[in-house]
Formats: sequence, structure tokens, C-alpha cells
Amino acid sequence: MNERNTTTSVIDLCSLVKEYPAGLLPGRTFRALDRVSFGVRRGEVFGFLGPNGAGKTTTLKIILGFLRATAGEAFLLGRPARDVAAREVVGYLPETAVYPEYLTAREAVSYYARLGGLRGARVRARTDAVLDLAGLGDDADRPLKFHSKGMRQRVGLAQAMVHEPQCLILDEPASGLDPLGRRQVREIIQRLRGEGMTIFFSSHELSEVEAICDTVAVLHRGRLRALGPLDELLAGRTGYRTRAEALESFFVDTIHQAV
Amino acid sequence: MNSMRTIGLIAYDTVRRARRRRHLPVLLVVALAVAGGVSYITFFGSKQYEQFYFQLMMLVLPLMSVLAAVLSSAWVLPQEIADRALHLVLARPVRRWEVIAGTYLGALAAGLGMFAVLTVIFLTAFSWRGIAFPPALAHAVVLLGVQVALFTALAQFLSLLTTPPMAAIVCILYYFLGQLVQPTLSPMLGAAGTASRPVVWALYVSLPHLNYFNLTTPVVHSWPAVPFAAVVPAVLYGAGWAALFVLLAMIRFERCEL
Repeated sequence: MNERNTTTSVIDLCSLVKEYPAGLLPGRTFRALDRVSFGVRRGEVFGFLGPNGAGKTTTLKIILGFLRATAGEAFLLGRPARDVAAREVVGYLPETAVYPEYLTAREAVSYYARLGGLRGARVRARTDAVLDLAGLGDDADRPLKFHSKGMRQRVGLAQAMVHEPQCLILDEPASGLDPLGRRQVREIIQRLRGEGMTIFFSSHELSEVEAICDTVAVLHRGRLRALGPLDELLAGRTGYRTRAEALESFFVDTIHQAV
Repeated sequence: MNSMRTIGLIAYDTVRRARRRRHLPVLLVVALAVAGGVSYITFFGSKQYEQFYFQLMMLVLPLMSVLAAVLSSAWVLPQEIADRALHLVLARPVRRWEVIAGTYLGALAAGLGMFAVLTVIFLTAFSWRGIAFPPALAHAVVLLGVQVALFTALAQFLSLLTTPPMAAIVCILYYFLGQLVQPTLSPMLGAAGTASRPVVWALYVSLPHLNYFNLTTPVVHSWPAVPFAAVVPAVLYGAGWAALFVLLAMIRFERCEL
């Protein structure tokens, strides 16, 4: 298989195409991704925007090796995404995941730490560290069935970080959270950003993206419609009260132009 | 990462999940009710009672164990895929075949655990009524354990091709029909013409012969024990089929889009 020797790119997508069968007739397909290419640089917080059905989750699944691309290839730190070793450097938070409710937060995070390759005392140390970072230190020994949605999302963040990945892939990390929960998640991401972690997250929460992202890509109907540093994309947009409003205007215009 | 360690972690998690499913306690209560209820039957003579008890045990024990195995196995992967718990596992440096091996071993441990508990219930009832264990019982128990392993693998494989309820239905149907494959097809193989012989032969070799795991007659009639080596071919036969189904599940899962 191909290998890429990239020193700056953590994630590299090369002309990704993904087609799904459409109906029972052979040959009829629905193209969910159409030649999507971009890279995520080390230490960057990359916002992946798009309306529902744009192909964001499909892209994430190809990056993580859950789906095969019909054409093109995804790379993680230069390795093909389907290479199991590539996933040693990645932490993933799905939009919705059901965690084993009978486990405590500590047990669940420890399980994923062991699956991530940690052993012995390191499991305990990292589990405690990420639970504290996620603000769950006091609730770590309560079964997950007694945790609120916001707390479970933070457990999700903790499991994504526990094996010390170089890159976090977050799918709608603030989805379904109340304002307090969103704020807590945003604070965690900002803290990780300060520590130099590469973060790739898909969202349609524009205020979140505006608050934490360096670079943004907009996907619509499987095609990349805009890509660049947030400051550059919003450069010509004046007259808005906040940058979040400017981003919303940019996002809506980009989608309308595409339509 | 070490594959054995990954498989062990996934297997342990699968056992934890299986322990929380409701079917195991239900099957346990049914088995307890059957074993306990039969102990109060008094209208048979002593010998008839023993045979009736053995017959019932050889009916209930394999059926309940296979049900436990199938119900433990058929829902594991589809459920984990549906609630995306599997995404959290596969986002780690975990290979897909390790997931199949781990979930199979976990479901097998749950099924065999249930089988062991059911066996102990029946043996306790034997002892309580002062019934001597039939000589072929140990052989029968080993073969039923192999059958549990086979059905755990079959249910896992089918659950990747269809829905869990359909996989379970097919497994239970095959539990009954599989007893007839060898007795039905073997004479047909001898009598088949040149044209039909390949079809009969293909059916004969492509379906597991479950009658190899059925020692009801020697148990019920307390036949003298045979050397343990006599059941080794059946054990290898069952293990081979189980391994084949696990391998097919691995091949299928490798191609699954999650």
C-alpha cells in the first residue's frame, strides 16, 4: 500500500470518493463524497462544517477505516487509514455512542485505555488524568447509567484522549448538550489545543467552530466547497456584530452558491 | 498490540455484556423448574424414572445450552454496531479479526458457563434422588459442549449476514434439522444416480451432522462407557465446523462497512 512521508500533515485526504449502492439495481449508486482532498496540519484545530447529509461522518469513517473509499485514499500520519497501526495515534469521539451503562466512568475509560495499548499502572494513571481533565473526577466511580448526557459526552472525550493520541477526531462533540455542557466541552478542547494537540472536528455548531478553529472546510453534498484559515475566509466580511455571525453568513453563502 | 491481549479484553467485555442480558436468567429458571419439577414425579417405577429423567435431561440440557449460546452470540456484534460501541473499539489499533475472535470467545464463555450451570443443576437433582450417573454422561457432556461452540460460531456468522432474530431462528431450526442430515443423506448418497449424486454429496459435506453430538441413547439406556478416544473424532469434527464459521465471520466482517 501507499505510504506518505509527511512531516506536517496528520490527516491527509487524497481525492476521496465514496459511493453507496442506490436501490437494488446493480450499477446505480449514490455519490456521498466526490473527490474530497485536504490536509490537517500538526497542532491545528480543524473545523469540518456542512449541513446534515453533507458527507462529514462518511469522511470521518473513512479516515478511521470503518468505511472503504470507492476511490482515493486517506492517510493518518502518512500511513493509509486502514492500516491498524495508523489508529495508534488517533482518539475518536463519535456523535452518539452507547457506553456500557453497567460500567463506571473509570472502568469504561480503563477498558478503552487497555485497548489503546496501555498497560499496568499506566492505565490507572492515564485514566485518572483524563477523567480529571474532563471534570469527572468526583463522578468517576458512579455507573454510567446515572450520568447525564453531558457527563457521558465528557466520558467520551476522556476515552478518546486516554491513550495519548496525537490527533483527536470529534464528530459533533457538542451535539445535544445544554449550554453548560457545550461550554465544558469547548473548554476541554481549548485546553487540548493549548497543549498542541491536533483536533479535527465536524460540527454544524458555528459558534463552536468560530471559537476554537484555526482552519475550516465546508462540505456540501459530498463536495468540498470552501477550505482555508478561518481568518482568511472571513477577511472580507465586515459589518457583523460577532465573528460567529460572519461565519454563519459565510457558511450560508457557501451553501447557497453550491446549490 | 499483542493480539491475544486484545482478544482477551474484548472477550471479557462480551461476557460482561452477556451476563446482563435477560435470557440467561430466564433459561436458568426454566431449567430449574424442569429439573426440580421432575424430581417430584412418583408414578414411574425406579428404572423407568431414571430413563425418563435421563431422556428429559438430554432434551432440555442441549436445547437450553444451544439457546443460551445462540442468544448470547447472535446479538453481540449487530448490537455493538448499532449503538456504535464497536466504533470506539475499532478506532483503536484493533484488527477486525480480533473483534470477531474476542466476541466469539466471550459469547462461547457465556454459553459454556450457562451449560455448566445447567449440567450442575441436573447432576444435583440426580444426586438428590439417589440416581447413579450413566456411564456415557461425561462423553455426552463433552459433545454437548462442542455443540455449544459450534452454534455460538454459527449464530455469530449468521448475525453478520442477516438480522439477529433471523440468525437465531435459523440456528434453532438447524438445531432440530441438523440431527437428520446424516441419517437422511447417508442412505441417499448410496442410492443416488450419477446426476443427483454430486448434489446429495454437496449437501452431505456442507451441513454439520449434529447427530454426532447426540449421545441420548447411550445415556438413557446406561450403556457401558466407551474409551474417551471414541468421541475425539466428533470433538474434532465439531471444533472444525466452529472454526470454519468463525473464519467465515472474520472474512465477512473484514468487508463490513460500519
